[in-house]
Amino acid sequence: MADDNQPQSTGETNAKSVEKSPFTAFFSRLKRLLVLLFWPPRILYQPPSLAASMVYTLRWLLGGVLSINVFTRLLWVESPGVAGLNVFVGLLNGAFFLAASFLMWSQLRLIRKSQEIRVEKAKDAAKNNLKTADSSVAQPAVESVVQDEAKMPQEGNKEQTPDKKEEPKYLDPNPSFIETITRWFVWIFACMISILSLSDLILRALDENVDNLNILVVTLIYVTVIFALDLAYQLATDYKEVFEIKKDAGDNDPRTQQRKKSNRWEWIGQLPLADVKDQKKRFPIVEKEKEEKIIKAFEEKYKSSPAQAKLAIERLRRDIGFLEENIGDIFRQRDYEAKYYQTAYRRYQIAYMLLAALAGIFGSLLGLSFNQNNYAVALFGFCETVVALITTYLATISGRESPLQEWLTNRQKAEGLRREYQRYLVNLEPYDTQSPIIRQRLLKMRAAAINLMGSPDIDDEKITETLRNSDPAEQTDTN
Amino acid sequence: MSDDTPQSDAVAVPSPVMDMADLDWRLRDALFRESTARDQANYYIRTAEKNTVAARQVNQIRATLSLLTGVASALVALLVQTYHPLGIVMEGFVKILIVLSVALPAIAAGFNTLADLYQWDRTTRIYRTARDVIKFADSHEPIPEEEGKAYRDALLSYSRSVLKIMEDEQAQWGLNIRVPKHNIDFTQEQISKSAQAEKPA
Repeated sequence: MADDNQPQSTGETNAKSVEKSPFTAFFSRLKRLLVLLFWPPRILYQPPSLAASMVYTLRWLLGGVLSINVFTRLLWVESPGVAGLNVFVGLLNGAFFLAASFLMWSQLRLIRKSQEIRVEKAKDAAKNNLKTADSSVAQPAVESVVQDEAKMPQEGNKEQTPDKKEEPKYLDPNPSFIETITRWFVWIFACMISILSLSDLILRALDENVDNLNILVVTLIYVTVIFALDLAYQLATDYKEVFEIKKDAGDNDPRTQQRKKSNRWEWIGQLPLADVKDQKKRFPIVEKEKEEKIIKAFEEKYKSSPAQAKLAIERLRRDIGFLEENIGDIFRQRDYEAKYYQTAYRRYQIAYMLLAALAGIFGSLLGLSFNQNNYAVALFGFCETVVALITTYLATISGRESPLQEWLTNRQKAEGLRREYQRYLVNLEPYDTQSPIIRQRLLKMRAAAINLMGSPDIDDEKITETLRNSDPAEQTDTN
Repeated sequence: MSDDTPQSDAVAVPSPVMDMADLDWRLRDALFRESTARDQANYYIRTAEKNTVAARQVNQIRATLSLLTGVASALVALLVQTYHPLGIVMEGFVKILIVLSVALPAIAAGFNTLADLYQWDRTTRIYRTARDVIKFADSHEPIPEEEGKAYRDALLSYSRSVLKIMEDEQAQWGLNIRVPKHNIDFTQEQISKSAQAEKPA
């Protein structure tokens, strides 16, 4: 399935690209099916990875198990006191699965449609190649694509629009209102079911009904899967698209869209959900577009003295080139590290925050269960201990290096380098009265000093002190 | 700042700054204004706005959770006193309310810590002040009609002020970032709990 979008210059390439081994074809279909069936409602128009699809499969399976369990209990009601609640939960579960089925159906339709488009494109490309390449090679490629297409299930064909060349709808960053509502409807239902089921079961546990242990465990796992793994997926950097339509996604990166909408839930937008990407792509400290725009406007303004203007532009470009060469890389490195440690620091703190909330809930439930239910006391006591152990684990792994200190230090250095860049450009002191060579030497020395110590002041004693502080053996001796 | 730099060598060579033409300064001025001063001012405005929105949203959530906790507790008291005995549905409802009245304050406490972690209100104040000070520094910016030394001196004074504001803002921001006290206390408490749990029975 990876080959549909690859550039196809000749018929031979095309034939190779369409051929698939039975195993590849099988796994490709399986992968597509998993994504299709367990599409996460929160991540609009972003095909999840195989791992994420498995997570969602598990989520739905557990949802099913929970539902069956609730209905089974409903059929063999042991206590009339909870029957009403069971009926309510059962009804909600039923509605949830109906909505989920609708979602699956709509996804199936969309994916079928995009598949059609790609097959059409592949056929067109193959036909075009026939004109320039050996037809005996290219023709089977076309047939193979057509056969592959014919083997696909035929659901939803009636719904397809006549225009097959339009962009696949499921990558559209602007979903229809109905579709968005459906997705959120399903998601809200899932949350409601989880909360209701959990409340029901905790209360059953408080009633000292030990028979509910199994369902309590199932529900806890279910809720954990929904909330924790959904979050884990958000944190995951592996956004490999199983449909290989990266090219189509292009500039319509859904993450960019999310950023634009972040004002609606600004605090969520500021949570450290995404990993910091290493800045392999070189970005200049001063945006190139902005620089060019200013230069163009300058040229336009001083077109009466083009020689002088040209000289000024040349000097500026030379300075910027020198700055990029000497400050650019270290600035980007410091900036990346600052962002990395900022994310790490905030993640640890948010984890502690969540653990504190859990500890509070378990502690309160423990207090409520005293003198009522020994089983619940033991269970909530155990949960509290687990929270304490996880907290200790996190404190131990975060204690190796202080993310907060690293974040602040790196940010200070990055901003210092940024200021030095501007200082050099506008010839502020100490660059104002120097020869070109000394000026450049000075920049190198000051940039290196900022990178080492966060300050441009060059002092041998400070360097020695910094090096001593960075040596763990020295630190131990001092301590 | 640059005491240790080889200043003495500079005396022997002609200064490029003195050789720079008026147009050099004008071009650098345009670039500095656009890529530094204006960018930085926009950043302060944008961040202050974002932080204000985030702080308001979290505050609303905290208030809502407190309200819901109060309502849940009050409803429990009302229902238990009104219905004797509680019916099938009502009993389940009351129990859900009890769980909510326990869980919601814990979640609200989490949002308190979140606000403490991000310090939205404080950083907003810092950025707003920086934005206003940058506006004030704009009064030093060179006037196009100025020429030669006057233009250059105005640019240097202006850029010096803007860079100083950036430096001060960053220093204040750094002082503002602290580990939430609640998290420190909680971690210490949990570590001592887990140490107790690890002791052989």
